[in-house]
Amino acid sequence: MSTTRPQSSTGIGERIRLEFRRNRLAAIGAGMVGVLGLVVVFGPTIVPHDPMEHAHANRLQGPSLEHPLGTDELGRDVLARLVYGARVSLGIAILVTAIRVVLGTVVGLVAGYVGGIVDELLMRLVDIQLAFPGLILALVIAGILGPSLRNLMIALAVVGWSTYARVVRGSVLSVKERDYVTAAQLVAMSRRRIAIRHLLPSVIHPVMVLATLNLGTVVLATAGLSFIGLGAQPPTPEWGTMIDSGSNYILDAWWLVTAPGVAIMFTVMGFNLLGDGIRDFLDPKQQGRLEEI
Amino acid sequence: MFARYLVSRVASVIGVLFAVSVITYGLIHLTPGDPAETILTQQLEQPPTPQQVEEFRAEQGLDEPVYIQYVHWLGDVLQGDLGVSYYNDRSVSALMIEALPATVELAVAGMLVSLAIALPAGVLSAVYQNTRIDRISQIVALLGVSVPNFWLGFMLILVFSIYLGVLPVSGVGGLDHLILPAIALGTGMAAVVTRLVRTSMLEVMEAEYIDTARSAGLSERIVIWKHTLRNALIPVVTVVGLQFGRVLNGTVVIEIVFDRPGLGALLVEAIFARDYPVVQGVVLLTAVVFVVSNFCVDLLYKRLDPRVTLGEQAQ
Amino acid sequence: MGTNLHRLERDGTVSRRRLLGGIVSASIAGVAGCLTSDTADGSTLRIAKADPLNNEYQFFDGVILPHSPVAETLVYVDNEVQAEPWLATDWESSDARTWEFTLREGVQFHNGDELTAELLEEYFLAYEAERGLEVVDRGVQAVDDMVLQFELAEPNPKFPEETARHWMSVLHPDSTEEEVIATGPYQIEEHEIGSDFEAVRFDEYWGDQPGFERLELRDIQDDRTRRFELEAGNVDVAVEVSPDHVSAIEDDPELRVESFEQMRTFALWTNIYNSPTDDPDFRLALQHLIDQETFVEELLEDRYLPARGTIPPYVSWAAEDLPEYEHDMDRARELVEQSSYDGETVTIAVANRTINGDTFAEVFRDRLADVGVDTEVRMMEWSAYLDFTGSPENQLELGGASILDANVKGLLKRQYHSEGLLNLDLYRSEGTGMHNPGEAVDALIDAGIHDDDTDALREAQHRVREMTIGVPLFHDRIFVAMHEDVTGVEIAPVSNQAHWGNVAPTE
Repeated sequence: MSTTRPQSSTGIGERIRLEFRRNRLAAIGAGMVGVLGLVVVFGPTIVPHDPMEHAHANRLQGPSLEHPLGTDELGRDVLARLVYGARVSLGIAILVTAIRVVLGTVVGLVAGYVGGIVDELLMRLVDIQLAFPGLILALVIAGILGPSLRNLMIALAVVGWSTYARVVRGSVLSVKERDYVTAAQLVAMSRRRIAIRHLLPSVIHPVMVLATLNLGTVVLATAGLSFIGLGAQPPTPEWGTMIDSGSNYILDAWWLVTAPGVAIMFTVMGFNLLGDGIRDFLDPKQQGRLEEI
Repeated sequence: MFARYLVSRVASVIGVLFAVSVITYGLIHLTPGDPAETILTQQLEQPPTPQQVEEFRAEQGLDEPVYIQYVHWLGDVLQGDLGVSYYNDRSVSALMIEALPATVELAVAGMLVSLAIALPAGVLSAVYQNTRIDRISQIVALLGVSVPNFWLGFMLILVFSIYLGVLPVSGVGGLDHLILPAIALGTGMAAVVTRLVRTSMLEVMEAEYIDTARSAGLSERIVIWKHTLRNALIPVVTVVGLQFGRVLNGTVVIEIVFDRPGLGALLVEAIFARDYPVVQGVVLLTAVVFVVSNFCVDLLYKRLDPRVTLGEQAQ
Repeated sequence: MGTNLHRLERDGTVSRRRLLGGIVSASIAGVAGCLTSDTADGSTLRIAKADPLNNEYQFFDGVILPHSPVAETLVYVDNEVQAEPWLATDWESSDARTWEFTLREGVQFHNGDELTAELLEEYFLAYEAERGLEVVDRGVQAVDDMVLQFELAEPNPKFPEETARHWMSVLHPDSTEEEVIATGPYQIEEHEIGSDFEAVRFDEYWGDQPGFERLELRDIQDDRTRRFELEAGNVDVAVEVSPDHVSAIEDDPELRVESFEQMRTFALWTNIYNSPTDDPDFRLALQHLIDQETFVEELLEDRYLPARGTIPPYVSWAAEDLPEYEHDMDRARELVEQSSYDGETVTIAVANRTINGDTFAEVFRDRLADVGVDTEVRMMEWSAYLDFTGSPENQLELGGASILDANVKGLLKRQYHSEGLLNLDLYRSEGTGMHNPGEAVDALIDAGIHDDDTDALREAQHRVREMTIGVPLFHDRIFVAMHEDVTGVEIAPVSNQAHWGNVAPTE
């Protein structure tokens, strides 16, 4: 029954290696994400300064050996804040994406598999969510709930799950008609087992692509909302907040704005390259699909 | 056939808009506490007495069940009455009408910028598929989407307004006020459009009639620019149109960076001031614009490309 | 109505209703900016300022203008915070209840009418009737052509000083929302509500002819953007830039910064009627969190005068030997432990247009965390800030205490008297207040104001310092950055009053 799985099980590692050689951009993306991972895991143990510690006498100092990226308006070490900020930004991105994935996948699976009125209702829900420009809705939700990282995550999760639901439902519908599901039904497997054994694997690919790309967009959205003042609150080192407060000193202390800006760019770029690479690898035909926020 | 499709689509759009209005109305109920008290505290600038709350409830119909209140509200909204700002005795619709032009011109200019980047990049990518040029133009487009647009905005101000002194820093006005914000906004959308142009070009280039044109002895350049591009542009334009609603997302931050008095800035100030009628108004307006523009693009797409299957009734 | 008036006076600058109106600004000036851009050409003076006319303008439906290039008040406030003649050349009263102002001769309104006592009587009466404001208490009357008499409900020796408030601006009774007719050196050329403001030279102005033919005032709320616009050469004067930027701006040979004392004291204020700030130990702990000298030196580039009390030392009756509190974190921690503080999250409210307000707030958040107090900083839009800090939920707020007129004693009343503007509403409705310690201090302030008892005023300052109604940080200054070829900028110590007509191009 399961011999018709689309992929051969041989040498997945080998295939990835070959793919990276062919698709150098994806390799670069993977490298960038890898670097980020290292920073998130080991960075805080390496940087010598406390990202929260004030040193008013040393405020707004330029890059030096002691402070490779200078200090901010309260004398805090910018490098330390940047490194800890990576934890904040990536932590949020992963959490928000995970919530979106779970929510969206469940809704999509149920809608696609059960069909009928349930499908109709769930898809209307998706339509309604997609009727709002995502960032604006997130902004309003975060604003009404009150500015905090938790509320920002709720807001971003609420507005992002429906894309997954659509994609997953689409995959389910196309797979559903295929023989092996019908066969499984004939063998009278329970519905749940069918869903888990056969449907889930077939939706993993598009979800994986979407999620990787999503990590980048969530990093951007988090930074944007924090910049507006609806995300991370002081003293949390968050990149968007750092740009906001740093922008007051843009003519005098360029490092304050430049460092977090480049960090965001690097992160989003890494996820985008990797996500595109995974897509090319898994499903070369499916290009040009629009990403949601 | 098309008429039936149209009717079903319109029905579904109306359904969605209805849901949108319910959600928008419900937003204020997300706030902690009693809306009547929230509003009164804002208006009186001090906590209201229980008696004042009672009176206010009766006066505003807030003592009725929520769904009745909603019906009243919707009735007003359908007549164009979105209420009055808590902080400014002006009507929400007047505030929005004042803010709208700044946002619309920014959105349009931003889309033009994204096309200006994406067309050459996408075409080059497609023509030189899988070469270094392809990769470079994709990277350039990706850079655009990876840069936080508010950061880019500051950098543009720094270079063009302050060091070079050639473009204005903030506010709205002539074309010169639009250039930097449009660049900051448009670069973010360029990557998506580039990929689209590339894909679309590749599809068309594989099509038979291009081969025919080629074998008819037309030069490669003419084939690319005249035939391929023209055919490839149709879906691109539609999708860019579809982006219009999405552009509104980006305008919020840009309006703040460039101090532009648009809808996004209005929304953010209203959020921080907890001026709920204004928040509701802006959210409703953007959602309606979003839904309607998506709907129009769907129709257009359907007209342009009959291959699009009718409706979503795939089941 | 009364509440509106109080609101108007809060924190010196008005604009409760600015908020959304301000957003819609700039469209007209934007166009004008293009036409007249680049450097000052001697014909247009371009000013960027945070509290825009249009907001206050809008607040009273366009009838009253704030201190501006367009409208003037009866008296001006000089650098010593004393009243000096402006539209009134002289004033007198025998009993401090009936005040007679002699108007300046030869003053013309923008519509050509002469300034007379009759016109002013008409204007002030209309104004009273329409607004129900308590401005003129009992009555206004033209005694003769050039003498205007105010009759007050109760004696007020400082009434002339109080006419410096911008809502006492002198306008022609025919003024409407669309057309403001006043006496200032510039007259409005075009002004839509919510947009920026353009004015042209008023040729018949009674004083020296203004130095520029035109004047544009751009409402830019954000000090960062004001500075950008100045550095980019799009405005000639940026009113209020951050002290952090002064030396960098001065490095530019084309730019210059001047600073002016403000009758405004910046402090961390406590609501003594809400927990935990109602606990004297908790409040005392706050005093030990910082050292004002170090604060000013490290965070304000040493550009301000560290404050020990509310009244700056150059005022003759400022209390001297006020108690000092050392920067002592251990003591602060002890005091917090002694206090009734139970671990709740305390809110620090800051208006987000306060220059460096986020930095100050973060300093206190950090220090309070060190002594075991959990705080949440809430950056708020101006109007939301005013609402919140006037409500019983207020705990700690970072902001300035200031007045709009030349009656400095009024500052003590406004801040600490139960009938003062900040306390009145809650005092009347709940019997509480905000920063008012009670009857003893009320009596001292009353004695100071009515009987000119300066010892009582000093004693009141001691009391509020000892009770830690607030932790004073510094006496405020305003930094005005301008293009090198502009001279004559001078900002009065209250509410940005200025003689904009005196600003001229060099040469």
